[in-house]
Amino acid sequence: MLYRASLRLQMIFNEILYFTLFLVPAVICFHTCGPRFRPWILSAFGAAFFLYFGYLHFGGWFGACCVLFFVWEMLTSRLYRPGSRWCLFGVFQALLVLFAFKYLAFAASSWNDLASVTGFHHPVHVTHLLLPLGISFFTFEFIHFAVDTYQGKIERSSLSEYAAFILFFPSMVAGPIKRFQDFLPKLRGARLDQALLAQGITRILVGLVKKHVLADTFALWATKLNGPELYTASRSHIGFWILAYGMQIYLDFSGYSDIAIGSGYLFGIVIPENFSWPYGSRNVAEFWRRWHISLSQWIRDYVFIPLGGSRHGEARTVVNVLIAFILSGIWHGAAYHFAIWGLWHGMLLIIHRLWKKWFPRLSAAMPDILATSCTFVAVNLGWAFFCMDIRRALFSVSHIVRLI
Amino acid sequence: MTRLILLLESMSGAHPLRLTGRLGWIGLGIWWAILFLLVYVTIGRSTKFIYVDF
Repeated sequence: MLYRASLRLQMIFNEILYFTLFLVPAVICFHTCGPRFRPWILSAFGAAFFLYFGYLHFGGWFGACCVLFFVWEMLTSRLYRPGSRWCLFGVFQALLVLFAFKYLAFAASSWNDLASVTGFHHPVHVTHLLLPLGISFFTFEFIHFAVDTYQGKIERSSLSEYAAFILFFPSMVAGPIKRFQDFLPKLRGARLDQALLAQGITRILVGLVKKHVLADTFALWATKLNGPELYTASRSHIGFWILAYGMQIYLDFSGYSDIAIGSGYLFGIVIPENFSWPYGSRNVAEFWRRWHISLSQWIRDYVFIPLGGSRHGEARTVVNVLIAFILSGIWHGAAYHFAIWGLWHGMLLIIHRLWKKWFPRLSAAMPDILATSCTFVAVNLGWAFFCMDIRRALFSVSHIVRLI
Repeated sequence: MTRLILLLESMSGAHPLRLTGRLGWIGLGIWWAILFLLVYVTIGRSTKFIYVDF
């Protein structure tokens, strides 16, 4: 079926204005200016990008004014030194911003639910604030910079270079989550490379195809999971719709990441990969090394390892894994079903860990096709908790499990 | 299987493109035209990216 070209329902990377107003002019200015001005070019276009799309899609002038977070972060980051308390302040302020905008209303409603159950009649009323553009991603980059500076892992850089890092618009909205120590040498050494330019254009076009042609096709089925037909559908239909959602989210987000990475190539800047054929993973641990790689690594480095990682015995490792995955789930959205999704993956990882420990021979001898299929089914069942509320997800999973 | 994955990754721009001569660039141009056409004919039904809301 042919669809008439319309730009009304597009969102940033699939808007023509992303290319005509931001990407192409920024790439031209970046490569025609001297290296000294390049970070400022990226910062200026990044700020304009945030103002424009923040205004358009994320709360009008209020959303656009959130660009001041970046200005404030740039200024406070100048105070960061290895071992300095300003770094801890930086982590605190990033968490505070994330909590205020993303979790405060959820915390208040959870409190009210608890109060109504326990008969404690002190309800809290909090106005739900609009979510600023890319808040979950830029706050994670702020935290990374503060923590790594505190630990002395980051060399001194100029204000413009840090501004270019946080305002680098191809990865501003939804990652990949960058690391400053990787970004800086690439920014300093960026040059116009014909092969990289061709690779970047290819990557952007493939990303758009993944989104428009494939992900949006799977979406036609996946949307039924949140429609009235769920409760009257057969088990095989529900299973197919969840599978369709699994394909949709993969193609949608990997397509998005392709456009972000491809846009980076046009500047001569290589940003981290986010996906590496995750559905071909033999187990859940491998899945998380190949799915949303930049987030998995962030959670590992700034949550799991600081909690003690796997250094303090089996019981503590289990607790740390569960905490890391539940936090990863809640990071996706302030709702219980995301927490359950995180818990699901945490439990799968623990089961895999124990399986490998208790049955090492059986685990090693398991055929690839069987291991990959088991992982694929487990991961896709988990998507039920990601894309539906708990009641619907439980209904769907219980139906499918009976089918299996 | 590995060869197929490598081919798909190269076609999607995940690896540096090794274009030799004019024919290579013509091939790439045709590939871009196909991709662009696919996007153009399906663009109207597009929804927003899922992760943009996170």
